[in-house]
Amino acid sequence: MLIRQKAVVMDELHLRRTIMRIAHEIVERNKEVEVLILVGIRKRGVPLAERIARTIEEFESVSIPVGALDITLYRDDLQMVSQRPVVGKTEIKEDIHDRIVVLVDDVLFTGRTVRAALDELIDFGRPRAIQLAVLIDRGHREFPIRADFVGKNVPTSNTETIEVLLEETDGRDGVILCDVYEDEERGKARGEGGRDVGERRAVRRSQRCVRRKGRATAKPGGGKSMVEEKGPGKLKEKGKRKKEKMSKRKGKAKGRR
Amino acid sequence: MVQFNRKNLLGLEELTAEEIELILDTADSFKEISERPIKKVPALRGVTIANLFYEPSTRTRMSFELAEKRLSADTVNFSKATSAVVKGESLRDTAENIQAMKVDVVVMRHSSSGAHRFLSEFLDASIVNAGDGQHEHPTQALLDMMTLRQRWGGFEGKRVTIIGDIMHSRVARSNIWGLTKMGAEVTVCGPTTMMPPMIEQLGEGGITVEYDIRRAIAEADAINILRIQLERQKSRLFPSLQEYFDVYGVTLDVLEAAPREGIVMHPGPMNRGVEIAQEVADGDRAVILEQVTNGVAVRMAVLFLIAGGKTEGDEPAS
Repeated sequence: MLIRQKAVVMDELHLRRTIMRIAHEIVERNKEVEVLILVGIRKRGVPLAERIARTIEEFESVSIPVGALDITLYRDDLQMVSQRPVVGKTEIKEDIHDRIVVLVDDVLFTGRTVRAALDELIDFGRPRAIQLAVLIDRGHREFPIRADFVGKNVPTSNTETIEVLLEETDGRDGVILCDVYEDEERGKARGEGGRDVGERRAVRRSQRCVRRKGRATAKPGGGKSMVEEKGPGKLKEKGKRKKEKMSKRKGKAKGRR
Repeated sequence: MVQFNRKNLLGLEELTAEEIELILDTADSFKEISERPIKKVPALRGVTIANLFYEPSTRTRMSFELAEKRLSADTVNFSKATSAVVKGESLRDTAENIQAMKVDVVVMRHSSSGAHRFLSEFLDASIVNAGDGQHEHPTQALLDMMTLRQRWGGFEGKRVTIIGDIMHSRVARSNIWGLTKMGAEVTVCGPTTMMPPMIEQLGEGGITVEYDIRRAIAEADAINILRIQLERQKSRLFPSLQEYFDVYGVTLDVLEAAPREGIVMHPGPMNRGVEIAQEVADGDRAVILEQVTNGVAVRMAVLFLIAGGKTEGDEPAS
């Protein structure tokens, strides 16, 4: 299998700002900051959770505990994989009972990892709520799982993959979209032919991508990858419906009065 | 990355240093599970494990059973006294009958050295050695090594002295293989009657043999004290238990000869006042209960690496 970079989804600065925004959204949604616990899913969810916690600490001046979850033993394909996955450490030192746990991961894809994480988490106690924060939502859900906080929605095809790079684990920050070639020879041939396209086009393409999705990501808690696929028309419609609902509610309140 | 693709764990002699390292790393990760409010993970759901104990055991058997249960495996137990073995059934027949009931893993202790290798030739189920005769007791050595590694961080240049009945000890043999492969230096010490010939050639690169206990522990970073099998007293390997204690018993006085930070281990069950003095067993150098705790984690790691997956198939996306 060959993986070849196709486009830059986020550069260093963009990544930093996204983490900042997620941190603010988490605090906005959960007014009681003291009950928060961030739990990163190994391996890149852990440094992400640490960064979000640090950001919250900076502007709220409260210390947010951070835990780490290794979901290997809860995978639903454990008996199907040939190579024994390396089992990492799960470290949740705080009692999660009656706390609000925010699970943090780099990429939300099929939702199977999150399912496993939920199962593992409730073996540690009964939290008041569990929320999900991801840096990238790339669609293709196989389970009914949705993120509460999304850094960016990136619709992908099955032959693509998202690579999140973090200073702590990879030496640099950034998110890149890659092509996956099952057939290595074909991938090489393609890559050589397309080399003259250069990085500039790749960046331009990624910028287009950003523009297209700008609207959706600007909405707080916009974890709905489906929104882009529906297009701007439906988006408006949805907004209208919401307004109608609001006015209805107002009317009801008045009537009661 | 190192992969563990073995079907059986028969001994440490056949493992590479990388494989041992992987087991110890995995065990480190598993240790935390036993501290959770719900001490159970679904990793071996649907896997059936039979515990065949042809020799009596408390620690190893309970440790294996707890490890199996904490991985959500289904377990069945067998002990010699209550089985058809007393009716004269052979080992092979017993094992094949158990396999016919669709068991995935067999954890076995047997008094004959090599019983596991013999079974592995015709069983489809995985076999984990829980001690065979005077040959190997791999999980005991692995838990000893896990305990040492937690203290030391690594084995390079460290010295371990094993004291006692080296001749009959499978714990000694597994420890010698494991420790020398990982780069530690091993010294064995015991009465000449309990020292097998050519023992100095065992392990990777050989070991040192010493008959004087104070000289043996003079540079030891760890001292592993073997149990004197009281049943052997009849075989006249030593004149009396008291005399053994006087010459090879580890007392506070003897420990004076060892480096200050040297730790004391014992695989259990202890004969207090025979191979180890009361004050040493309960002293602050002893890590004996830590070893027992680590035993569950090591056995979870071994069972997971052996039974936690299929032998073929693709790695699916996350």
